[in-house]
Amino acid sequence: MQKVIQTHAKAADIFCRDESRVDWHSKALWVLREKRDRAASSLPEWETLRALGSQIKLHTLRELPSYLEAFEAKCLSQGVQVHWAKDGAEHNRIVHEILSRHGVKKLVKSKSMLTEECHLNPFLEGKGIEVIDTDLGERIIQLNHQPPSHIVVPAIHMKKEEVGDLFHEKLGTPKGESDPTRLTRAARAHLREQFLSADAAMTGVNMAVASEGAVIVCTNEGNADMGANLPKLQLHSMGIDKIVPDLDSAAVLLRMLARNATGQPITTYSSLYRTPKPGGEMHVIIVDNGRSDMMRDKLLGEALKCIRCGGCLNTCPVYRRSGGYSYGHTIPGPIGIAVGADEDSTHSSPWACTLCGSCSFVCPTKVPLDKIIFHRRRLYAERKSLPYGKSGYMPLVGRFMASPLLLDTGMAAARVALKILPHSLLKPMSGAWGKYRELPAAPGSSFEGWVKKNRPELLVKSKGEK
Amino acid sequence: MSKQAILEALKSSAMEKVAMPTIDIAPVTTDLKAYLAQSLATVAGRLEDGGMAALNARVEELMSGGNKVLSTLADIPGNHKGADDPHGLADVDFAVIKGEFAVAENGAVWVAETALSQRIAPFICENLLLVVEKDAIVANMHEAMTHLGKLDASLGFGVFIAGPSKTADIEQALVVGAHGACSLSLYLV
Ligand code: SF4
Repeated sequence: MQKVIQTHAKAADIFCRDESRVDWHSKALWVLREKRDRAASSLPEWETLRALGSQIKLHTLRELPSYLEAFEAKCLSQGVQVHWAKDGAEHNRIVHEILSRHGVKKLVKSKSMLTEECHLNPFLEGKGIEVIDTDLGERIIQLNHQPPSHIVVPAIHMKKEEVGDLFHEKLGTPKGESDPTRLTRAARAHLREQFLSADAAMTGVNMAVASEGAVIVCTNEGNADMGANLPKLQLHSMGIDKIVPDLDSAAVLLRMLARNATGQPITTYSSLYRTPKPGGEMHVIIVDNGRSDMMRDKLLGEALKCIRCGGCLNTCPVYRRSGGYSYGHTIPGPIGIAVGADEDSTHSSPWACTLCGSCSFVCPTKVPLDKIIFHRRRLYAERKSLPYGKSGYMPLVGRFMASPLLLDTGMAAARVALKILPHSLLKPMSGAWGKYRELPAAPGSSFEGWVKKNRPELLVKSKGEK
Repeated sequence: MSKQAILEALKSSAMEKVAMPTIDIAPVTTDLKAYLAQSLATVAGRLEDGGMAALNARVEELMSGGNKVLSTLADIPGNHKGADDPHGLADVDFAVIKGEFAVAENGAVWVAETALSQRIAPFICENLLLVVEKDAIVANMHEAMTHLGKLDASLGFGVFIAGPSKTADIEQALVVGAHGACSLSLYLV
């Protein structure tokens, strides 16, 4: 993948050039948000589940070492091989080592944001192993040589006609075919061949159950299970944050995962793998890759409560209107800023947010996303690595706002300017803000002046209280 | 080793201690069968009436229509003889499989490995007929897990299946029949 060096605003600008596509993208995601609302409100215990989900995750994250070790011990006792990787490079090495030991030429993979994070596909392809993404959305973007633009619906940015053109070129569907059902059928046939001829399968992990030594994998398409249950070799990659203590905790999260993602009561398949299939081999790779670092900061650590439902992306007004690729990170949207801002060399992603708080409100495990994003800004400021522009004027804004005299004179001047100068002259000075907005009509006086004139009793009272 | 390095790194965690909460959610007490039927419909599955007799008749009809039917139920003889290698099930048109119990809140049926000759069976078949005893319905996932806790400790694989496989990856249009079964019928017997 090419390194992204554009700021979020610049990259979003490109997406925003096509206004009708922006509207369409925003609407498609909003439909998911509405379905989520209906599913959530159909359970009277929804808020109880969110509170439980949050507590379970917080509890487990604090006790990670003991749960990870219990999980590993149980896996080993059931004949599952366990590997530990401190970063993406080590994860990829381990996977390659297992695959090459078995002479694997073709690997079928089901959706896993972790392997995206580790850039596993290009690594394995460089070693001559064919990697087939099998989730339909992922297969589409793989054929289109793109990374996912959403964590649950990876090809949400593409129109059906574009998928049709792509399939015509790559899978030989009739030219001009854009019917989703017929395109899906073509993909089904194509991927069935891949499943039947693969030497190994790899999946992500939705939950790893410490008490059972089991991994739970959720899909709607059945691609993870079609993959894992055909060849002898199956691999599962999981972040250290995927552990839950027991099946009861998994139940809490399973009740929310699909409801919060797409509004379904549960994904079609929620599979529990505990042992290799007869005559087969099962490997679990436990990956840190920066997660233990995040937990050094209490607030950032809360981002690891995330169960990757994608609900925050669907609700975010910025994500919906700027597209996943504008974030310059594997995981876009609110949760992407929370977990990935460190990898954003432009330091701009925490500013891709209005701090409206909608993401935190819909999150099933109550990740305080808006607080984390705000915290990210502060961390950048402390490290003196504010994005270009902000570091120049922000301190001045601070000084200006802190001085009543400067503020009063400044605002009075602005009111006069708004009244007497033509807006065409002023607009360039309002920067990006003014680009798509009309300048406001100037009020007759300052707010303080208005209060003095109309509600003097308030002033006296507040002074008296001091 | 990386395991030690990770565990060591976790020692500097700033996360606070939080007690494991008690999960105590009162189950619904409505008519579970009606609730199940409704949930199953939302996941594009079908609840079939008529119990064992209806299932038998359906399987007869399918076989006489030239379909390859794989059955893992002793009292339903199919016409597909199964295979030692999972790839050998690629031509199954219909699979008849026993589920342990159904979950009313989401229409999911728990299928355990013990009921299968091959783990791939419920996924690779073109269509799936699940069979569950009529009083084996639990209200929600909490009860489901309590049930699971009582299953065989040697269980290596199991799956909750809620309806046929589906996708909405092309412009959010729901398409039933992605990689797994294209239809799912549930028989309560
Ligand atoms: S708080 Fe920020 S990231 Fe969250 S939904 Fe609002 S704009 Fe998006």
